[in-house]
Amino acid sequence: MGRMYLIPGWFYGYDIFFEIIFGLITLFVAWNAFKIYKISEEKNTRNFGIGFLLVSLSYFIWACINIFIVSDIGGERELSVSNILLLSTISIYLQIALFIAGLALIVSMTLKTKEMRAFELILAISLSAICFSLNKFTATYSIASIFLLFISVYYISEFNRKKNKTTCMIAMAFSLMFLGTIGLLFAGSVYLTYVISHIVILIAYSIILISLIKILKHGEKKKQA
Amino acid sequence: MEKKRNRLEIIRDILKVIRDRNGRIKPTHILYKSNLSYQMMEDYLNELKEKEFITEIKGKKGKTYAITEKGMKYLDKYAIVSEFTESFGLG
Repeated sequence: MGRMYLIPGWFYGYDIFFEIIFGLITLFVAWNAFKIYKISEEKNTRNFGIGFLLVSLSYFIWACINIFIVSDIGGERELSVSNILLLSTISIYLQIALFIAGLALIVSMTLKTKEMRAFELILAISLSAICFSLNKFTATYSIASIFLLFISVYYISEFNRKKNKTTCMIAMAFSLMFLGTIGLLFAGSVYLTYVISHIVILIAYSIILISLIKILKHGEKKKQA
Repeated sequence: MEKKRNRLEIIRDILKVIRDRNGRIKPTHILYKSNLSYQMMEDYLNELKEKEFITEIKGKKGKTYAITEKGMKYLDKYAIVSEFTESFGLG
């Protein structure tokens, strides 16, 4: 697999902090989705929650990988698979699998089908493509970008249909996540894209967090009215 | 023209009809009050029974439906459920 990404020395530590923030925000979304599912028993809400939970776990594993596995190469730090132990390799593959499975679940939710076979097919094709590719990091983030583009288009069309401001914010957030993920594709050669991607994804998750707080506050207000 | 109701709104309306009838109602009243076709009402009632939002009581005069605590909780929290579902496009 070779080098996956380069982290500038001055950014090392901040990136871990960012990944923990991503993990906490996605965990908060998942927790609220499960709370809503407990009341409504709508399977789409449960799947959405599981999707965000898987993405959240992948971010926490990513933070652990950056804490324990990345190596110092004269100021910069790099993550490569060639010089690490089996346990570390397993954690990298686990992070990839959880991230792709989480996004695949959110994508299958946008298809509005009750059939879990759609999710199974998307996941099987994606993981096979990653497994058989020479550069697993590029394959992972290429597939993740396609998923995020698909999700962004879904939320844009939902906004056009309903004219709901919060849906517009969520569409913006997923579009930014798409751009951030595209940036990560080049993080193996241009280390600045690793930094820019982290910042863009942080903005995206902040928008999701603000939207969620807005939803909960507005829902509470409507309930009292 | 009135906006077409979504799934969550239809479920809320059925539960409201049952709650407003002191928590127990005949299917014909649900049909009349919820503005649904017979088949659609049957589908929704089956779903609500599966989710344990309502219970079916069989008596001498036929079937009646009663709202459960879970159904009451759905009505109480409907605003948040609807806001979350609509905004995240889960409906």
